[in-house]
Amino acid sequence: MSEQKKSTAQSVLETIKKENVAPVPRWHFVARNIFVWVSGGIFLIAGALSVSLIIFALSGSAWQLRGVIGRSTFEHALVIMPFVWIGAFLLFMFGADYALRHTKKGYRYPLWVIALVIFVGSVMGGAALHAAKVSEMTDEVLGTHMPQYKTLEKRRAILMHRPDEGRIMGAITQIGDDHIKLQNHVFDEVWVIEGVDADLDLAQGAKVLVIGTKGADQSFTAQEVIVLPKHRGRHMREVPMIPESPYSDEGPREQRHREDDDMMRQHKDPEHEKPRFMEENHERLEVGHEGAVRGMHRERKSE
Amino acid sequence: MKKLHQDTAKSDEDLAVIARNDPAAFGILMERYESKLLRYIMRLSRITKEDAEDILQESYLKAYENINSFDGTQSFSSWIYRIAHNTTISQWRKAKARPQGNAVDVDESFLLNLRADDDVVITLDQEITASTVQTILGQLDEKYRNILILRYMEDKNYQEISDILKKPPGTVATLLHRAKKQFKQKLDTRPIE
Repeated sequence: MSEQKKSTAQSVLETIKKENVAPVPRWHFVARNIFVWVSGGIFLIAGALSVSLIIFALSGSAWQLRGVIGRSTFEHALVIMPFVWIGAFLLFMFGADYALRHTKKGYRYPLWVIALVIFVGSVMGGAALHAAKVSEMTDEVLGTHMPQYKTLEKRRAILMHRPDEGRIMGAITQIGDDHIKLQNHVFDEVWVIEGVDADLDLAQGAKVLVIGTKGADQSFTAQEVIVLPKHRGRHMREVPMIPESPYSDEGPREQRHREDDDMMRQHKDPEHEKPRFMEENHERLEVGHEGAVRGMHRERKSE
Repeated sequence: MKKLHQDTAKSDEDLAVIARNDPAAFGILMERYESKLLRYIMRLSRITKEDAEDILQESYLKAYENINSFDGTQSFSSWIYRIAHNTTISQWRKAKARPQGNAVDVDESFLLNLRADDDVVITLDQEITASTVQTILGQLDEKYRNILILRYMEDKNYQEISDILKKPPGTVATLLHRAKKQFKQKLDTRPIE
């Protein structure tokens, strides 16, 4: 070896020997690589879940009721748009992009390629999760465990239940002669709706939107009753029926009508249509022909 | 002795694998890259040779500590250039001072490579001296200067530059195009000497 100034290589080798410098173990890099991929995967799944919740929020009856609520398309879109989940989706997309870009070969791909893969993967994954009802379950679980979180049902209620603006939403708990009772369990309110058209096919348990005028003491005069379509086969969270004596509200007049209807039922017209949106195990009511809903109470079917 | 002779015939990638358990193999790699990396560090940061040697030492130590991260997905040359690049940039930012008068070391190959490039048309009647090129390179944005150094002085191809700078090859091509454009603009607008 030359006696001249030590080469850099020699100096480094001496330092390695003197200071016992040792290579970082291979498992450290393997673990880091696994961590990066797992993080990317988690962000992707979270992004897909966000997309499924966006689809969930925008599906259902929200758009159909825009005309009833009287908003413009733009205004309505602003109200029903799930901005929280859109923001979450964007956040998860950035997270996935960051993670994938830090894989061994991630840097070789242009930004738009990675972004497109993440976007398409999230949308497809989100659609699949929504089809499997994962979005619905997630919405309910979040609503149960996070008081601040507004489930779809709650958001619908906030959107549509505006008594002061002439809109009431709730589930029918009782159908009387000339009134129905609605329960809105989101706001924990019970309303008596008067002036309900007897021709309407109404069933206990059905969720309705009533357009009309607010009166005093939780009363409301109906001008229009809209039975809300079920979301994926059910009215979201089913309202438990208030157990009441079938005859607790009956006066002498009601009693006479009931007895008349019992007689009619015995000779029932087989072509009489069943009311729509009937649920099994709910009380079934016949609709009269003289502008009022008449009650005919039956025992609930045993399960 | 025989083993050392056998090792010197091995490829960089093979030696890197051996170096995980044998510092002597790493020593061979260091000797192979010492002059190239020293020149690169000096061109990148425009510092003195002594300072560049310190940075090179630090780069080699980092490379040895992380030798187990080299897995062959890129060439050893790109891998070690990347470590030298990062160490140089990091040290240069810490110092935050560019010594006056230290210009990028430009040799004939830079001008030849640049002239051979179809994108940059340098007319034959233009007298371009090494000092002119040094001055212009010094005026360029850092990212453009770095890429011109890698391409025309270190003779790296697009894939190697992509691995060194950790950028997609398409981005490398775009950066290089812009770098050449800026170089040409400054060349055309330079004051007449």
